[in-house]
Amino acid sequence: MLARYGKLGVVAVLLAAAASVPLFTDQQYLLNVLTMIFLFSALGIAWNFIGGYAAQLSLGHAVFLAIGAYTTIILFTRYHVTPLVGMFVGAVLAVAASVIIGYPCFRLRGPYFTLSTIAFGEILRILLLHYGNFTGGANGLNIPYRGEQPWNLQFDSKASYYWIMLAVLVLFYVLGKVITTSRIGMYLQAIRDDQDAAESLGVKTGNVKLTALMISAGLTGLLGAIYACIIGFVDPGSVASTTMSTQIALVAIVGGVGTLGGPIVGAAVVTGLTEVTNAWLGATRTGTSLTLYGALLMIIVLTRPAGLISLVDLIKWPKKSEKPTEPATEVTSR
Amino acid sequence: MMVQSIINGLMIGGIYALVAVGLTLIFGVMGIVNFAQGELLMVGMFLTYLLNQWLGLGIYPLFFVVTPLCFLIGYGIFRGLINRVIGKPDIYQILLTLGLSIFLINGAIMIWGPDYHSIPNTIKQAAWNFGGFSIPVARVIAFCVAAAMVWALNIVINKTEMGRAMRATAESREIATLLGINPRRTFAIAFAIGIALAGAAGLLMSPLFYVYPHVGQLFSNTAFVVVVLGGMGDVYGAMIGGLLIGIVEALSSVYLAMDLAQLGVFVIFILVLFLRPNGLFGRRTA
Amino acid sequence: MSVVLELKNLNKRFGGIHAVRDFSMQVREGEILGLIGPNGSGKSTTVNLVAGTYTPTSGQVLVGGKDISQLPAPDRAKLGIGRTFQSSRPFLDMSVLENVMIGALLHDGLVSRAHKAAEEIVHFTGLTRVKNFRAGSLPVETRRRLDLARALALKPKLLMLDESMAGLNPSEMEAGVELVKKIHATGVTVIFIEHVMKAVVSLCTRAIVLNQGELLAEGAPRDVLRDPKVVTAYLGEGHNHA
Repeated sequence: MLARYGKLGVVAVLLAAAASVPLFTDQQYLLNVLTMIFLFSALGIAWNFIGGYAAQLSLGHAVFLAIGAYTTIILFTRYHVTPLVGMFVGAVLAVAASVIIGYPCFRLRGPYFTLSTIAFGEILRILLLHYGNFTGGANGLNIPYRGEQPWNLQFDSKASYYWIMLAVLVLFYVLGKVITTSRIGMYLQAIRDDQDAAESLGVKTGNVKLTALMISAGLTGLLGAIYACIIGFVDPGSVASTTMSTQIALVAIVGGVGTLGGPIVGAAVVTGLTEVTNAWLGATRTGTSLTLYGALLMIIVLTRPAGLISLVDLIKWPKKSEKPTEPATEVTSR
Repeated sequence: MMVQSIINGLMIGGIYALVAVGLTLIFGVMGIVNFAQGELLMVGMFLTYLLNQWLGLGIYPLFFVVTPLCFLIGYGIFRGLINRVIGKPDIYQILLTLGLSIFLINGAIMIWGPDYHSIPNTIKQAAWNFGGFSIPVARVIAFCVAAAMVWALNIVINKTEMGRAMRATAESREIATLLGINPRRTFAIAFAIGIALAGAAGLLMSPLFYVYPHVGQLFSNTAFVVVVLGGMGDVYGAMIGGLLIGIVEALSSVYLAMDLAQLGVFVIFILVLFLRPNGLFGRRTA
Repeated sequence: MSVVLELKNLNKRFGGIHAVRDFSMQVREGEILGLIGPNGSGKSTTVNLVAGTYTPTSGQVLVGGKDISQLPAPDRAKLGIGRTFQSSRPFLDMSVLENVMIGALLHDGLVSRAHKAAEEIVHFTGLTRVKNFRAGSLPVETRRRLDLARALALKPKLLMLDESMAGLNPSEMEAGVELVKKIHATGVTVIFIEHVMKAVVSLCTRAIVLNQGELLAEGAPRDVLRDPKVVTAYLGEGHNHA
């Protein structure tokens, strides 16, 4: 009892604190960084559905992000469709893309799957660059700011975006909880543990993985739309690149693959690192943060593969269910 | 025009083959997909650039310095990093080599900036002209040296003790150990060879390409396609695959569009992954 | 009595190895059929062919008269074919209850109802005491029991038990045999792949002997074990049989 409310209590306090930050500061820079942390946390949670729970390492999620972002911007700037609608169109298109990608890709395992996600990512990026008339090519597309229009997700101050992103993150977290405790969540864990055993129990692994991918893609597409509104600009290099895909995956991996809290920790660390290094060394040393990403990734893999969030487990929460890791002491004979 | 394309493609294909052979060797012997292979090519290029600046030696003489140096670097990387993830689930090695790739690219950016450098040399202008076709000399040399290295590798694999060890370990680690072969050492050497090949490829390309941190990416995507096309672990497959892909890329850039050259390659990649995941030649890992 | 499973001229090759040769048999409803034979005789391959892990090189697998030879494994589970694995394969990171729920979820997508169904099965198979324990922390005999419980959650018509008695001490084996009898009493047809002859003799109504992929002998367990052909097939293994 205490344990459950204890943990919940901590979360509630943190949430309240986070929500009140814009009330105490109007440092646009800080708000922006925190908003980005929330965004990448949500991206990490979405990625985890396929990368963590299904254990298929996707390095092509930028595809879904880009589809969401570009769809929203194009619909908004050219056809005056509000992003609140555009984001769902983007999400649907992202889901469609995920079916095209996932259906054949899931027959591949391990590095083959990862390579094919990279390939799809590159294909989209090349196409976005090539069909410049439609997509703005290498110059990208931007949303010209025409004053505050909340119904179009255009706001004056960073605080509004901050709150929206925080709300979205909370929503994603709750959604994540619902999904992981549902049938598909349990099936995903079973598949991750032992795919063949799962199949012998009637789990249609192909369908389950595809569904997980579709969920992951749709959510990422939604975030792409929000990303476009917050940043106001997209181009293939920023939103459709392997670098972006890697960043999304990195957030989840560093934080803790296959967990819900992991991406939040991961996003904080990764984004925090970027900001700190930029502040210390200035913008001239552009490669620094990414170099650190690379080093961080290697260190995590070699020392703490369960991700940084596994450090949280070292804090002694009183146990609410018995899951001892020592062997059971007696054998049940009846 | 078509024949010229094919010739161009063939020449660059030799380099793709070189990088791919290293990649496939590493996979065949120890089951590691080295996502940082392209970056080690870049390292080879930068080493060439630096040594050229410091020692004043020409590119081709530097071959005999850079290649062994890259071998040692590869050995070091294996002992320090790769060794720790052998036998662990795929995700570990993917992430490790990926991390290495990111680290190398951006480390290079940190040290030398993202700009392009070029190594002063006279050879890049020279071209052989015959029968209406023209091939830059540097490409021919690159092709020939690459071919020689692959041929030498084949000899090592088939005729030497170490080669036998590599083939045995590729088949089965247990059996190899029973035969008295030390698997870790075999892995280390195979990995080092793979890296040396990549570094050499970098050196050979340095008269023709700019030297800059992201240059490896141009080659690594293609190298992966070649490896899958030829069959993961199949050295002969990688050789032939490299030449084929070089030609496909050249033809794509002429007949599709310049910027779509890579697209043709990726599409082939996807097709091969789905239709013939064991490679065009359908052989199990060599 | 209806035929639950029929194999018609079943063949399976792996490259040069002809693991199952022209094997035909019928399993009638309510039987406990023992499938025995020396190592490498094709018993596990047969189980995999019926369960759908492998597809036959030629021949047919028929369930209730329907040809399911090309049907993928998950669909066969839905048809009522359950199996355990030779070396038990529970989902190590999940608890015993969660493991069984994976089986129960096939018939009921609602997690809370599957939870209840799983609880009943856990009780039926005597695993209640360890139901929240992580599967990876359990000893071998309990894991086997878990494998069984999980397959039971599928509400199978046909249950294939692959060497579930190996390595058990006498009291564990007795408990195991009792459990199989209990399951059989609920109307499940059982195929019992086994090396431990004592269990075969005490449980099975009929036995089929495989040798090198082929059907060698068929009949009541005691008769089959006295058949000279069968004795010769086993003799090289040094098996002791009653």
